[in-house]
Amino acid sequence: MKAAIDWSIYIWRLYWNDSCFQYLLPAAVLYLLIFHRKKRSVRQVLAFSALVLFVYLFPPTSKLICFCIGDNVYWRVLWLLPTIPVIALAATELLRGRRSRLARAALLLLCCGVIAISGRDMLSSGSYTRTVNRQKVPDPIAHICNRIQEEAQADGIREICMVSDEYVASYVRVYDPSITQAYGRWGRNAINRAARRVFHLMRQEEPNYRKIAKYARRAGCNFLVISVPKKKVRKIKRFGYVKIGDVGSYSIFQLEEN
Amino acid sequence: MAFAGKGLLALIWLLLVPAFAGALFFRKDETPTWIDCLLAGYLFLFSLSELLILPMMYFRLPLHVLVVSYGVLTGICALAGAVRLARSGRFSLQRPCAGRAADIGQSRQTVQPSRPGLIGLLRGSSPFLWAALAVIACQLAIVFLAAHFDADDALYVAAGTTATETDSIFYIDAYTGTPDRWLSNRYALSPFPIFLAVISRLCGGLHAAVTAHTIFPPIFLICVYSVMYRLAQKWFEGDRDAQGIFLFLTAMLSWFSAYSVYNTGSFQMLRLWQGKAVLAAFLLPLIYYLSVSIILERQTRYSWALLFMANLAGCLLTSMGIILTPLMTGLFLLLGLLRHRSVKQLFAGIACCLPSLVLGAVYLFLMM
Repeated sequence: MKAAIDWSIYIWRLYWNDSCFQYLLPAAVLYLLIFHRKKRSVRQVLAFSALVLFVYLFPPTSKLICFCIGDNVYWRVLWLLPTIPVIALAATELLRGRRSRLARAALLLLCCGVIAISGRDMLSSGSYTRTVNRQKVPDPIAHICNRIQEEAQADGIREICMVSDEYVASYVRVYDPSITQAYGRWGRNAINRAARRVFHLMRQEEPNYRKIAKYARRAGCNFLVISVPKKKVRKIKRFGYVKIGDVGSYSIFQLEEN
Repeated sequence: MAFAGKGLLALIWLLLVPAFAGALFFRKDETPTWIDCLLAGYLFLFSLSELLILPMMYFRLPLHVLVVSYGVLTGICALAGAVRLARSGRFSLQRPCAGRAADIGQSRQTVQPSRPGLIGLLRGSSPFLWAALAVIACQLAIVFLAAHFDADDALYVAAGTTATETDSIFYIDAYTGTPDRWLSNRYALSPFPIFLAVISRLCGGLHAAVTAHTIFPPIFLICVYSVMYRLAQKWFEGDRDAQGIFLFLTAMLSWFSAYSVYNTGSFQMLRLWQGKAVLAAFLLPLIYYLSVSIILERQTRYSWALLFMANLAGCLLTSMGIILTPLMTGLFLLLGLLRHRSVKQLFAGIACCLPSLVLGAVYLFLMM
């Protein structure tokens, strides 16, 4: 029982990440309860929010939902809470009380200031970036895919099987689905045992490049993309891989036999 | 086909088709607004996609069969909707269209034009509404032009690109590109990436990643704010200033939601091409609006069919939707039962949740 409540509280904190937005919500609820509780729309939204919070915090319901969706994504239940509409509703009701438009505009600016201080804006958080490629994947990955395709076309290779680290593997098939991979994100759906081995070797703090090349070849990969120090390149070459280019910190290798 | 031509096709398939098709879900004596039509249209498109994709996936039919079926069916519905709207005079810019008199307790003759035509809308608008539209326009430009990298695309977008590349529905693994056991995967119950693939094909073979990262976010953002505007109209009926202020504040609150990666605003602004983001930012608020209107206020304007389609749409978007949409509907049914004490309404609501309940049982079976 206590563990379920603790988990709900932990997830609540995770969801709000210590921002002041979590205080705007109770403030809005309190304001609506005190000054506008007789309005039908306010009663509806508050009753629903209370019900959601009850379901979220009540151990039997939270346990049931956790069983259905998984503990680690329990925060998604908080999507049911109409946070943004409730805060906006309270602020709008506050502004509606002013007769002149000027006063409303001034108060609206004040509200915006409070919102800005309480939260964090999307641009400054570094969430957005610009890319050269239209598919909007990281540009180095687009360059890697293009380089591999050029080389494959020149050598008449029909099936490209590539192996790379987790970061590259996450975006390759978003950009170019004609390239097959030894495994996907988090090493998922590895095509064979050797591919699974490569994934684990790649994740090591000091990767064993010789073993990576050995198992990549055994997994049937004709292209290997890896961030490798210059001194260690020869270890990869020993297993038949030839370096065909560099993109950022990554080196692209092709199996010689192809 | 040039990129601009494909963009035009995208506007047709993602704005015009849903807006026209949505008109079919209102009674003939109703005159729904464009916003109503668009929202109902999306519920229809999403639920139709779920109904088409699941059996086709099971029988391992190629993607082009799905594309043709979807294109023909939605095209016919859009045409029928356009005819209905034309007959009701909805295309006239001057014509004021009255709300349903019975809903507001007035005779039809005395009803004021609560939802005027385009010119009336521009004339009677509030500066706060314009300010809100300006903020929303900035957000649309940003999500259209800027990129946000999300490693979840390894599944959600790659499944779409894989489907278009291999002309298959979910039986080629998105991670590796090799034939896979997708049918045993719980993700297969929520094939939103296949919807992405279908739209990409219909848009003249637009790359699925371009559709996801450039076309979907602004289109779905329009849908998100359409829901918010309908909420504003419900909560502040007749007060255009208040409606504008509410819309402006929702836009600002969403913009300043980068405080965590889990909240709705963050999903809305950063990755509105993924099914779970569409669920959080668009579908759940829409279900809130519909549930209040249908269950709590018993408005005849919206039919139970819309709530049924909303639950089916939740199943398409994400496996989380299979659980969260009936949960939300269920909570409203509970509130409705307390208020109206109507068992008939309860059964109607449970019927709306049936698709989610059936798929939910399959989902739990696959999870075990």
